[in-house]
Amino acid sequence: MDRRQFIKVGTSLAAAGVIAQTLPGCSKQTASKGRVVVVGGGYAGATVAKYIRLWSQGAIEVVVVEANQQFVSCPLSNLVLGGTKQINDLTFGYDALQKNHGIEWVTDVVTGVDTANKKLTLARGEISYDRLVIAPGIDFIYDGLPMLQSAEAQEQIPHAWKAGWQTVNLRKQLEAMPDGGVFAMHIPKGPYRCPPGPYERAAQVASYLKAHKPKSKVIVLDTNPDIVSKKGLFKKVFADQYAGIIDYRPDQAATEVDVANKKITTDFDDVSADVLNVIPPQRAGKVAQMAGLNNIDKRWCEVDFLTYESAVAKDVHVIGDAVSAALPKSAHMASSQAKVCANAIVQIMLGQEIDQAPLFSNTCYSFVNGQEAMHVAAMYRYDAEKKAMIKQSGGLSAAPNAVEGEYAQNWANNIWADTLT
Amino acid sequence: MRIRKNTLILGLVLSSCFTLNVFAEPSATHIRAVAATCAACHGTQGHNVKTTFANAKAPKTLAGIDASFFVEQLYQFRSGERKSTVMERYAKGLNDAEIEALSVYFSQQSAGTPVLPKAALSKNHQHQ
Repeated sequence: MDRRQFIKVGTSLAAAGVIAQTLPGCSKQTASKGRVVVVGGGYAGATVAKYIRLWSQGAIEVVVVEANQQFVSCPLSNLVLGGTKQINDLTFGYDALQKNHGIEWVTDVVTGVDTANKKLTLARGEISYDRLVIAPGIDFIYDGLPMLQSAEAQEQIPHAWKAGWQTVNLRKQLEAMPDGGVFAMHIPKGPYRCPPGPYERAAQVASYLKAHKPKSKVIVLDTNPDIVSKKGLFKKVFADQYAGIIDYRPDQAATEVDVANKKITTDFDDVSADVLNVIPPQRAGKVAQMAGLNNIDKRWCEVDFLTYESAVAKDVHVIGDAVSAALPKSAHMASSQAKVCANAIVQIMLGQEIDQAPLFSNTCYSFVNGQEAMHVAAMYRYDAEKKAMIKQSGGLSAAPNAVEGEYAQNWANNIWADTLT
Repeated sequence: MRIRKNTLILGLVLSSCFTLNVFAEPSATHIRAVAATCAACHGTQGHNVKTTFANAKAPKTLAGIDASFFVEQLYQFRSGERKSTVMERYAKGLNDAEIEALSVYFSQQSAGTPVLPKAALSKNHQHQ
């Protein structure tokens, strides 16, 4: 269906107060059990859309609203900085996902969420839903460092914490940096997207500099009191592979950034860099804020872990990094949550019993150079008393190695295919 | 075949390493979602992308796998008898009934290989 026609249909339905399944022509399905609208086409949103279609055998209509025309993977994007991947190695289209599963796709921006009347306002129209899934990823908080908020400032000092042109920009800055230069990065207080990601980034940049600009330094300014994830492993990598290059400094809350001079001031230090990367603190993505779903510290969204239904809005589900949980904010976790959410939505809409003991896995591989990777992996099961996903088993690599480098690439290939085909 | 699997289960129960309330038949909807968590490395419904391996042993394609082979491998991963990187972590989080049901689920999937929809990053891609 043409997007304009589709939005017109949605608008007329909303105006008439008629639900989607009673009118013909809204969907290729003749016996629709209702319409789910998914906001966001990242690991969480694309996965929930696919699995609702698969498990309802096409009985539930699914519409995805995503602002970008392409999917760019955050996992492996630090390898673009290290120089062993190009951004296009991590960039994919949404066509296969739409065609293979009969998903309606709207490339647009959400400007309003009306959970009382079950409709969304987009830049170019309105759309109604029976159930809404919000998978908005993260939004950055610039209250502490407002000078970094503008697009111009981010040209100078990219966060590169959402893979795309900022990743490419940061790589170009590294390529232009003279031998003997300083790359400084700042890590926000947790929780943030991808707990081991900043340390992987430090290793990737150091790997590039060690090979091409060996007099250079990597200064890691961490707001946290210590390395947040894979601590022992990263400490050993920094000492064994990058001694004299990586200078790791904990307890370094940033207080000021001089954008023009690429100078960062923390509670303890002033660091002037040739290339500066500041990763801002984070909260649930904008659409979750718009809908008022970020009820935990005004940052993250509380959900029921059996269904991922929001604690504050009925028939609205939240999945992925935006969720408030004592779980790592990873792509694999987003995918796992999306599948439990899809299962529950299908069960609810088809009148089946909701699974009371969902079980899922999480894996985070980190590359420490071009070839070697290390993992943290775990299984989690729902605990009815604690009303939370509780770790059943898990562990870490003994040391980074080339075998796991290949498994990390295999993980990426398969989660990409699982998300996008 | 059936006898061998039961013997394995009995052995595991006797070794008392694992919880005993594992024999309840898991629902089909529970198992499809547990199988989906394997997809991150093994592909949707066991249809994996072909990756090049020079150092590692390639992960098994799960679609159409022999059910008893699957059960035996998962028990070996769980006990540590078969060395692994991540599989031991996952196998230890599954109960016996889930391993049995997953073996049936994956054995019943037909073959297929997904193709990644590669693209070039467009000029207007935005992530503020």
